[in-house]
Amino acid sequence: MKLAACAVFFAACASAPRGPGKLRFANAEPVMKVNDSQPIEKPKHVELGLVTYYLGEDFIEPAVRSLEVGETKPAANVNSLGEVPDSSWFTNRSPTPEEIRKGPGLGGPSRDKKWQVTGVKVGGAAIGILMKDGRGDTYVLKFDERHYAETETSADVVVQRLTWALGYNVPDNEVVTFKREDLELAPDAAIKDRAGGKKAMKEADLDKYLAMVEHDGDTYRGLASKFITGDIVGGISPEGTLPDDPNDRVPHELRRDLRGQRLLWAWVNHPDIKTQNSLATYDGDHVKWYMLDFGESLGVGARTTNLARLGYRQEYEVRDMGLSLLSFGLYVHPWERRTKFPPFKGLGWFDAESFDPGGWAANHNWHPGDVADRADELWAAEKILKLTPKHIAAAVDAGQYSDVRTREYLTKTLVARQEKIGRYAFSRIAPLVELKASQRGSQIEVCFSDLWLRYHYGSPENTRYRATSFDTTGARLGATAPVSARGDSTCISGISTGATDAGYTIVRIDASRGRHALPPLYVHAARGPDGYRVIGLDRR
Amino acid sequence: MPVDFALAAAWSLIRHHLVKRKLAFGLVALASVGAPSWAETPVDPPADAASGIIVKADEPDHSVANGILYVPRSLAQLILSAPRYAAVGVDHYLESRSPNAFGRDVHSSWRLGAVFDWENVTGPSGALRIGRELGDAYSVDAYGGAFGARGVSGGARISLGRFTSWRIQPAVDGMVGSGMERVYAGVGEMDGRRVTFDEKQAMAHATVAIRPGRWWLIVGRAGFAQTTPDDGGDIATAYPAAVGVGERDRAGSGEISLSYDTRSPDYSWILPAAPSSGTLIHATGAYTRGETDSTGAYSFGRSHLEVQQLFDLFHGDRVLTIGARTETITVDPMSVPFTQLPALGGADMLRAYARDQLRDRSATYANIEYAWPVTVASQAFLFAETGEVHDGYRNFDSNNLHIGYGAGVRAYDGRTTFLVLQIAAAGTDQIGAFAQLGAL
Repeated sequence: MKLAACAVFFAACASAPRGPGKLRFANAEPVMKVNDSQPIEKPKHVELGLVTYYLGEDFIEPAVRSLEVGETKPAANVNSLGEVPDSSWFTNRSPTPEEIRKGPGLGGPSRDKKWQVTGVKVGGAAIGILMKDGRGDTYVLKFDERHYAETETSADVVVQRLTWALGYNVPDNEVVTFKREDLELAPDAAIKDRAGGKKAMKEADLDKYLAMVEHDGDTYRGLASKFITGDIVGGISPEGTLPDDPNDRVPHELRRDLRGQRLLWAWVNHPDIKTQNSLATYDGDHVKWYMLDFGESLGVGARTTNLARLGYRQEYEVRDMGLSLLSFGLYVHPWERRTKFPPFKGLGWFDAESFDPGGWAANHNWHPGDVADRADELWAAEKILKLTPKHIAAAVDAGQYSDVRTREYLTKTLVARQEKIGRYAFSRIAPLVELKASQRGSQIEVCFSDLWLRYHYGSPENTRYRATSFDTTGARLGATAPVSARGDSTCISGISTGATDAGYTIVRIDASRGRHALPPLYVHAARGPDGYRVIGLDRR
Repeated sequence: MPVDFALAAAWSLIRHHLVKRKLAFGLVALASVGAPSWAETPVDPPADAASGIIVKADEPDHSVANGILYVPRSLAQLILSAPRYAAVGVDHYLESRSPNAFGRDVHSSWRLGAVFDWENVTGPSGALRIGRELGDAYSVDAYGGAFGARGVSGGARISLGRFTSWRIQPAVDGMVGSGMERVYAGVGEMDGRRVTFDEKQAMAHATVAIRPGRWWLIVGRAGFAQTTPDDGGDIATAYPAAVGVGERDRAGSGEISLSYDTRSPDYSWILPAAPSSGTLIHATGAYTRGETDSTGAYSFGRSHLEVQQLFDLFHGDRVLTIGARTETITVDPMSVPFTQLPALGGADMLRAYARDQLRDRSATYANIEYAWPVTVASQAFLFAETGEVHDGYRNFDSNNLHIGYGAGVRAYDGRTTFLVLQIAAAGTDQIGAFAQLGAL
């Protein structure tokens, strides 16, 4: 009996909703754009080699962090509604399928003249040939690995389009086809190395590099990536800020746009996340931040390196290795359940069946993604789910796969993975968006859209909401009766309001699906020039 | 260099703890000199002021705990700056070799290899190899060994680096060594005495390999070897009847072997060094004619048969292997130097016993092994094995079979096994432990 009483008591405590806490918002419209483009001096170029980077991120930084106490902090570059304002990192955009197909660039290098080869890409593991087109624009030509036609070149462009569509800065990438005779060596063509060495590039050097890449006779298919304007000052470090950039004020591990990327990279299975696959450039005024090098995504990295675990397990994951060792091989890892993929040209080891958004892992530590919380993932998933199958098909089209079956498979798989992401992200938090508050007599009504219902992951009959309001001191004002969902948009009326500070009212919305209660959402509302408005969201 | 290192480490520490973490008194203010004035931008706030929060939520205070951890954290940072500094050097080296990281477009004609072995009976040994490709066709390799079973040894091999259009690959090799530690425990069933001795050896061979088909390989080999098991008195004392002790044995031999080997990785993610399935049948016939200083001339034939079957249980990397092999010579075991006898024991067969601990006219062996993956390039394995040495097949007695069992791990690099750790036991008193790191 005592045991039962204790159990009831603790269960009651555990389920008892907490108050709104101290958090308060200014009575203002949410910030939609931040100013991180103030003129600054050119920051010092910071660049790490891969060995240094992996050693630091996989071993040294985690070791040092293990000697720190403290919970993971929430994102710090968001507005009062949890959105990421426009910045030099991110732009809120809603492109049409046609715009996605065209992409952010000029449609590839000009064909007016022969492409002048000026050298070879310095750094990175892949072969890259530098060239100038007839417009004088500089491109780096990247290629597919031998025997893996239409893999990296296409995957890069598809994911570049999707990344751009979601709001990130990306280079101007296009799939191009050319012949050896379309290339000519520039008089000053040179091969440089990072240590400062330099030697003249000869025709034989060009032939040697071209022989190392996938080609069909003298026809080459490449990825033409236009050089980003400005001076390179490094990449995106996974933590801290760029030392000499006063505009870069939010530690990168606290940027929602970087933390939320975890779901984007999971969606397209881009496990090769690292500083070297990003770019910070100084345009003479301020620094702009880019994501790049997506060629190993869509399962291409797994296929070309035969590392089926890519996207499922990190390079050094002691737990999984121990599990393998101690289970005598009886434990079957997720990536081992699927051993055959359709033999379509250009297709990587990419499927939806074995995809688990929560369990997805980059190949190495990437701190912003590693500390992403439910709110970051809700933000990202909402953006990902806004892309319709037509948007996705347009991005896949841009990859110029010659096999129509590859295009269909990829589109279908991306849509299926997209749904898994939605189900994952929207089940861990109250996925209520587009919140609006309006006055109804002496009380207010709060309306919202439920993403779980919008995407038909559950039925409205099974979903109920209840609102409890507090004033600006945190004192409880009252609670409404539970309300059943009406479609994907529901309004809760009869909410008591605060009497002070422009009627500052905090409305806790408790959502439940059947017996499953979701974490509460605190909606902060106050009277503005046009009546009540939502001035802040506190997602728990 | 030490000054560089100290400065780099000190700066790393200062930057990390005093500026980045904003723990310095006043240094943060100094660091912010030159920052733009946000008062000039009334419309859009900076990124860290977009939240609209005017009263922050409660946050747990961990300052005491973090204060206590400050010293160990700083120490860890300082200590770990050494490997970080070393990694910078590695990066510079790799990228100085080529524009592409890891020098992917650099082809070296030099080959280097190294191996370190350890056996619980003979202790450690090691060897280095250096090789070079000569033009497009030939390659030459030389190696030198030291300690334990390798004694002080050196060897060289010149080979055609690939099969010709006639599917032939010739090679010649030779080696000399002395002080190579060996084990002797008599001929036939052991009586418990085990002694070690040093061996001198010089040998030269010419080999021609012919590959008539994808699965088939024929190898012809002829050579000469001179072997002298030193008699430090131990063998003669323990085994007065042992043949060839302290004598120089010079022998020429010729052999031909035929292999049918379908072992292969079933999936692209399986490394060639760890095949998933297939069959190996390897048969050898040899003839040896030799002479020892005091025992006199001898000659005999030798036959060897090995069979192995691999079963892919799951995913290409849960593999069951069943194997058997037998070897016999055509003469009385006491009429030839004991070093010429078929033997069991060591890292490959009856691993609970020292290398060549069991010798007789014939040796028969069988094993079963189950291997499973730990990582993509490493696997663990369990094995059970049995075998005996006997005076011809008529004297094979299953009651004399030695039964051993054990476990180990292997790690691979493509076609090479570069790490093997294994431990085996038989009965209550036989334990074998073996380690091999690197590959020649």
